Amino acid sequence: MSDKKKRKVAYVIALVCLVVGIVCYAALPDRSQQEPVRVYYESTGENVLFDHQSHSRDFQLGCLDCHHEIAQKENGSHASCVSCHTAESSLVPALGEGGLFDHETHSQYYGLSCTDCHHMYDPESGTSPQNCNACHMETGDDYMPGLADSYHQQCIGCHQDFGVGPTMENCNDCHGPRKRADAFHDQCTGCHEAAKQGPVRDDCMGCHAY
Amino acid sequence: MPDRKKLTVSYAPFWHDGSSISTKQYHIIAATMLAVIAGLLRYGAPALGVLSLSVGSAMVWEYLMNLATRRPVSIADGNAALIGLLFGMLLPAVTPWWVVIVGTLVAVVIGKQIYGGIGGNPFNPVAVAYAILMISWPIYLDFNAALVNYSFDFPAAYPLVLMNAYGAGGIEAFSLTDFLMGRQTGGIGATFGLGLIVGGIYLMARGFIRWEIAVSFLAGIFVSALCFNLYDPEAFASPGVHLLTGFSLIGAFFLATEDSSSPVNFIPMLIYGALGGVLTVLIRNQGAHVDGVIYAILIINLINPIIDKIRPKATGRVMYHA
Amino acid sequence: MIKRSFFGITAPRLTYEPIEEAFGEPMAVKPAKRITLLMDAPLGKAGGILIKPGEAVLEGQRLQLLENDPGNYAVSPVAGKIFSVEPFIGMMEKPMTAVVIDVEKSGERSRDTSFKEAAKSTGIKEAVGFFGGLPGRPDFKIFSDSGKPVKTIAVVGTESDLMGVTAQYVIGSNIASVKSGIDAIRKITGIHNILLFVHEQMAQVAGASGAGIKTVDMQYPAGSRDMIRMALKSEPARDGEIAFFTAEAAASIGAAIQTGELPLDKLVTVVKKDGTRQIVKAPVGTHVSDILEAVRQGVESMDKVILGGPMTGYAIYSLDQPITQDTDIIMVQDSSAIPEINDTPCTNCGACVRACPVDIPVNILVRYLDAGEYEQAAEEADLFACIECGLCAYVCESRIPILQFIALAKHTVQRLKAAEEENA
Repeated sequence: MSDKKKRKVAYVIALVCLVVGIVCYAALPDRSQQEPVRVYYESTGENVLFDHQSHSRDFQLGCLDCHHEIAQKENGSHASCVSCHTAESSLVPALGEGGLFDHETHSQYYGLSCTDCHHMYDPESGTSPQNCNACHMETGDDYMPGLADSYHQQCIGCHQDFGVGPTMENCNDCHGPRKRADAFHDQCTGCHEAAKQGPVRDDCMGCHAY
Repeated sequence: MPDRKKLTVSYAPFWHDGSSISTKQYHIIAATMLAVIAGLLRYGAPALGVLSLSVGSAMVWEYLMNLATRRPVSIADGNAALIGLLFGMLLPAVTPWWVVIVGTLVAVVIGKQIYGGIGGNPFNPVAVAYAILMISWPIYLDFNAALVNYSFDFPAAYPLVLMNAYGAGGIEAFSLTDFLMGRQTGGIGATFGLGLIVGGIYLMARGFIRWEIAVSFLAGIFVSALCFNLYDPEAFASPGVHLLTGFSLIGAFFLATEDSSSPVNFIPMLIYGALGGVLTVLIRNQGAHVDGVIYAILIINLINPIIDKIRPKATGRVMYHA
Repeated sequence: MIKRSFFGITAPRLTYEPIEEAFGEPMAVKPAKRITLLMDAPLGKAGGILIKPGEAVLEGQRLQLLENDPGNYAVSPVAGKIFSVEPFIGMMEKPMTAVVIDVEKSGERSRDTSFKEAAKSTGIKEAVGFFGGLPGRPDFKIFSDSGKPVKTIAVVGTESDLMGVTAQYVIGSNIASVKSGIDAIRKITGIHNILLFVHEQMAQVAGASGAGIKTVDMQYPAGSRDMIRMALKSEPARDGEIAFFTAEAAASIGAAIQTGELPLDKLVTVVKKDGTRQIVKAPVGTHVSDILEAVRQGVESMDKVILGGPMTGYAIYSLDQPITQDTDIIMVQDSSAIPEINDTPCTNCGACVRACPVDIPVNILVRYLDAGEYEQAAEEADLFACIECGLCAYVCESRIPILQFIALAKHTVQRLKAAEEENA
C-alpha cells in the first residue's frame, strides 16, 4: 500500500473516530439521574462514596428511612450518616503518625454529625471545615477542655497513661527546636516571619487564642 | 554501447525483514482490543465516546502539528492513534469532552511533537498527559466521582482508594478472579486484567514490545508488594492485588514499553522495569497518591538515558583502534 | 527476501545457504565482445602508464598499469586488443582504472607463457608476482608490509554473504587444488600455522586439505572475515597478525602450480529473481550482461542488480560493469521485491542493538551519524568496531540506511585523518 493511500485511510479513520465521539457525547445526555446510584461526597477529611444500592439491598433500608423530607414535604435535610454510623476513634493522617482523633466522643457526646467536619466542599459559599477552635476555647471548663489541653491530649494522653516518652513535665520533649511542634509551627509562622506580617513565633496568642 | 535500462541502485543491505513503524503500532492497537472491548461492554456508549474522541482528536492534533512544523503528515504511522487510544483507556468512562481533548493535546503536542515527533520524546506522551491532567483536574479523573451513575454487581469503589484508606481489609470483598475478569471499577481499558495479559503476551512473543521491561516491571511490583505484605499483612495488600488493580498491567505492557523513552540494552531494561514496579508500590503504599504507575513511569523515563549507558563493550574494538 | 519470523522474541536468524549435494558442473560463460579489468589505482597523469589502447594482449598476460608500481597489475583472462584505458570511480569515490579489452574472436588460444617459464626457472617464490591477478585475489602484500609479523594464515571456506555457495563449491569440487594451494602458501611464506575455516557440513571434505580445520556456525555473519578474525584473536596465546586467503584464492594458486598455467575463470553464484541459484564460471572482467544472458535472467528497468550478496554487496548502475576477482555472487532483484524505504527517524526500538554481532550501541551511533558528528561517533559509539554486516539496517523498523551511514562516516573520518597527517 502506498504512502498516499495509507494517509487517506488514516484521514478516514480520524474522521470516523471524531464523528463517533461527537455523536456519543451529543446524543447521550448526562447520566445524572433523579435518584443517583451513588453519591460522592468530597470532603477535606476523607472523601465518601455513598452507595444507595448497598444500603437498600444489604441493610434493607427503605428510601424513607433516611429521606424524611420526602414524606413530610419539608425542605429539611435527610438524616445524617451518624445516626447509623457511630464512628469510633480512628486514625487521622493529618494529626501525624499515630494521631488519634476521638470520633466517638465528638459524635456521641457532643452530637456532631460527620458532615459538620467532613463537609461537602462548596466552592460558591466557600465553606471550610470546622476548626478545632470553634468549640475549644482558650480556657476550658468541666465540659469542654481548652484548646491547648485537647490538642495536647492527642499525644500526651497515651504517653502519660503508659508512662513513656514525653510528659507534661518536660515541654522541650516536643516543643524544643527541631522537634515536631517546631515543624508544625513552621507551616504557618515560617511564611509569616519571612514576610514580617501577621502572627510570628513569640506571639502565641496570635494563633492560639480568640 | 551504453545500456539504456535504468537500474535501481542503493546501498547494502538489499533485504529487509519487513518490519515497520506502522506495523508495530497497528499490532499494539490490536493487542489492546480485548481490554477495550471489555471496557465498552461494561460502560457502553459513553466509553465509546471517550475512546473515539480520544483517538480522533489525537490524530487531529498530530495533523495540525505536522502542518505547523511543516513536516510530512505522519498520522498514517498509527502512533498518534495509539497515543489517543491508550490515553482513552486510562480515563473513566464518563469524562467531559474537553478533558479528553485537552489530554490528547498535551499528549501529542507537549508529550511528543515538540521533541520532533516520533522517536524524540523523552517521556511517555500518554503518561505526561495523564499526569498533567491528574494535577490540573483531579476530580475528573477520580473514578469514584466519575462513575457514580453506573450500577455494578460488584463493589463500586475504586480498589486502590479502598486499599489506601483501609489497608488490605478494604478490598476483602474482591477476589483475584474479580480483578482478572474486570469486575472492578477503573479506566475504560485498564480493568480487564486477563485481556491486558493476553494482549501483552502476544506483543512480547511477537517482539513488538521488549519482554524484559514488561516482565521486570511486573516482577518489581510483585516483589516489593510482597515485602510490604509480609511486613504488615493488614495494612498492605497482597502482591496479586497490586498486580491486577489500577494501571499496573496497562502500565507494564503498554506504557513502560514505549520505545523512545525506554532503554534498549538487556540489563538496563531489567533495572528500568524493576524500578518502575518498585516505585509504583512505594507510591501506592507510602505516598499520598492513589495509583503510582503514572508517576513511576515518568520517573523511570527520566533515568532511562543514564541507565542505558550500562552496556556491553563493543567486541569489535579489539580489531581497530580508532 | 526473508521476512521477520512470527515470533520476534529472538534476534533474526539469517543463515548461510548450504550447497545442494549434486550441484553439477558450473555453466561456462564466454565474454561476448569485451571485458573490463578494474585496477586498484588511479590513472596517474604523471606518465609511466604501461598499458596503451591498441596493444595486443595474450591470454594469461600480466598487465602492469604503472611503471613504478609493480603491485598494481591484472592478469588478462582473454587474448585480444586493448580498447581503452580510462579512469573509473569505485565505491566511496575510490579512484580506479578500467582497462577494456576487445576479445579476440578467432578462437585461437594464444597463451602467454611467462608464468610457466618463471615458475620453472626461479621456483614458486618468484611466481607470487602473478598470483595477485587470479580469481579470489590472493594477496601476499601483508607479508612484505613491515608491521606485526604474521603468525597465522586463515583460509576462508565460508561464504562471503548470504545466498552464495561459491566457496562451498570450491571446497566440495576442488579440494585437491585447495590442498596444493595451501601447500604452496606454506612454502612461499614459511608459516605453518594454516587454518581452513568451513561450515560444518563441509568439514569432512575439507579435512583432505592438510590444514587445521575450524568449523563456523551457519548463522550470518559468523563466516565473515572480521568475525573469524575476532574469534581467532580471542583465543589465548595467539599473537601476531592474521593473513586471509579465500578458498578460491588457494585453489587458484594450487591450480596454477599443478598445471603451470594461470587459472582465469572466476566462479560466481548467480541468484535469479525467483531465488534459484546457478553457479557460473566466467573469465574475470566478464560483463554482468553476458552472464545474465547466459543464465537467461532478463533485467527490466528499475530492477536491482547486485554484485555480492544481499547484505553486503553493492548495486550496479549498468549491466556493462564487470565481475571482479572477488565477486562471489551476482544477485538480481525484481523491482517489486525491493524493500520500501522511509524517512522516519530512529524510534529507539533497539532491534539493531539486539541484532548487532559486535555489541555496538547502534541506537546511539545512528543519532551521532544523523547529526553528522562522525568523529564523536568514532569516540563515543564504537563506529570503528563495525564489521559492516548490515544486520542493523536489515531489522531497522524506521528503515534507516544505517550501513550506508556507517560506511560514509568511516570514509569521512579516515579522509580527515589522512588530510591531518598530510598537513602535520
